[in-house]
Amino acid sequence: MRRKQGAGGRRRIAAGFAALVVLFSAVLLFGYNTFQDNLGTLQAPVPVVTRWANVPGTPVSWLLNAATPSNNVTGCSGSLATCIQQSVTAGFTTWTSAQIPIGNTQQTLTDVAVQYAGSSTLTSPNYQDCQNVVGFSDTNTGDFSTGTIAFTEIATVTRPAGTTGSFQYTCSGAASKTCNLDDCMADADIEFNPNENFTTSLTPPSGTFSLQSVATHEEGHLLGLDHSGIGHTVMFPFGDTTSAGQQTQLSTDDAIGISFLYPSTNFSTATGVISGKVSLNSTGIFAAHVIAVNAVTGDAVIDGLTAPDGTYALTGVPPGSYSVLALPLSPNSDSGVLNLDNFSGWECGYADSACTTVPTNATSYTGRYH
Amino acid sequence: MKLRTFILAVATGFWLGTPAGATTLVRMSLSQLAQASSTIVQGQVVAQTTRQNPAHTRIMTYTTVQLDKALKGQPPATLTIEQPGGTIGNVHVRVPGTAFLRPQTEYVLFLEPVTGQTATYHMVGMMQGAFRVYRERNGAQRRVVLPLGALSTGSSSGTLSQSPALGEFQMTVSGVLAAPIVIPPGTLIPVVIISTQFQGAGQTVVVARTTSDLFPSKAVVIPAGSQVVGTAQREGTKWKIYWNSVSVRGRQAHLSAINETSAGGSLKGQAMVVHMR
Repeated sequence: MRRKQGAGGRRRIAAGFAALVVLFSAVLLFGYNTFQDNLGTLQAPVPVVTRWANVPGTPVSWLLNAATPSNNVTGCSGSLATCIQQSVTAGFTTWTSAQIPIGNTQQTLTDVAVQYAGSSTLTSPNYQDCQNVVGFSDTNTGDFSTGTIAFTEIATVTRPAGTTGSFQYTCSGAASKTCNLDDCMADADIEFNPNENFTTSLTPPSGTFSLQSVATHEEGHLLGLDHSGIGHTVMFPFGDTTSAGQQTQLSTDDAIGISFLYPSTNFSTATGVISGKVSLNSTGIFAAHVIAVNAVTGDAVIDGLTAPDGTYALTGVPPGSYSVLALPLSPNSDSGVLNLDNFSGWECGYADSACTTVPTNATSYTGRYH
Repeated sequence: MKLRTFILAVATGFWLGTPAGATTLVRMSLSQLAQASSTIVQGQVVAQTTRQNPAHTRIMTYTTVQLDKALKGQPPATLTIEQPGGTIGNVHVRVPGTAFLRPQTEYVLFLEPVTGQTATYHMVGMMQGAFRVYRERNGAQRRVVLPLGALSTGSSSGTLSQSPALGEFQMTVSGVLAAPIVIPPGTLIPVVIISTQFQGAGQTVVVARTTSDLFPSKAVVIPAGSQVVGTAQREGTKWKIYWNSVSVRGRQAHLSAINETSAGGSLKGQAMVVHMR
């Protein structure tokens, strides 16, 4: 892998940006995240990730239950089912056509493929059927607390302990499937809240969510991305109906994320890795927050956390000059204020009894891949 | 967002003005979290189990919380929090946005009841409804971790710092619970009438339920299913319905709205949009 390093080359950064610590800690700046199931296997520079097996050989398929019993989808002048399918399809197309700015051009660096596999009558997630269903009919009251617009329920299978190579898993009512990774996504269902109002129009009226926008976010989960803490990304977890920001276009962070999960053959040559080590008094710092900022535009392009030995690697960075910032995750000296365990890929905090290991040289918020 | 832009945003206190991305969750203020909760508790996680549902189509995690203090509602001494996801064998089911509740850890939890299950709740706004409590390293004070830093509560949480002292947080919650719920003029409330009761003298009490979650301002939420009450008067060939109040998890908010509908059929079952004046 070619390494495209920041202005200072491989960096060894003391955590001494006191003023910026205060500023950055006031917001959650956390870039694209992937699902990770392998306990304790965080290995810099390339973490183990969970995604669909067999890609690019097989596209990820999805089905649609376009029934809307609560009549909460509007904005369509023709067949509602067709409009819904078009909105959901447009979201998937956004991901499959993701592009990363390389110099003055946009390049497609992912080969993720998706296909519509037909209609479904499923009205609630089923993690065992290995069918990825998008629906609007989930009436389980426990599924939609107030404020939940939509959710994606993802099932992954992990390689049985002590085994190597590919392994088999079985779906209900289907032949067994092969996972050729350490972790494979096996099923992902998306449910839209029947108590929220959606529109297939790209200009949502007040009080209505853009179906395509929400679908694009959920489809990011379906493909293996967790939430991002960068406010302008598709994978940012929050939104509101009054915002003009119900976006349907990917940010660079989103595009790098999907390309990292499903890289095309030229991904590793077209992009680089910024790697280094964060240390304090020559000792590596665990779970330091590392951010690459484009030195020309000022955009926060990509970020990540350091491994237990203080090393880090930001993968999928477009060519360019970058400043790299290293920050603790918390402005105070105790438990983390930025609650990383809100992201599925992370758990554990300082002095938490659930932790099996509390690193000795951690930032004020410690964490580990889960 | 450009780096300099969000530095400026933070420095000037306008973080909530930044553009929102695509969505899983409505970003709820502390006022909205409190209003949408039937129960707010401070409690300790004492047990956690993960099991399949009876149909073997879902994996759910049930967290047992021992009550330390009730901030809203009258919860039992032991509560169960139901959340989708969990691990059975080598299968792991997750729902992004779900809070991880850790054993032997204290939280302030904003809860809604799970219909049909006694003492079982889910969290309002998913991860937004879990505020972890921790003790400072020197043991002096307990503090509260705001979910996602200050993002989820933002400016509507008033002067709360990112890790307020537990006592300060409790007082803030009490404050927002004591504040009246004011429905802004212009709010559109879709309802379905569920019952009517004739009161004599041409008047009928009308009870309806809201059909959508509504977030009319950063300080107000009206969850789907909230009860709306009014009085209907027959005027010629029409019913004129004067809406008086909406009940948000047991707290009354004043309504001032009038709907007209044909007197040709039954009011019960009719759907309409209440327009707050």
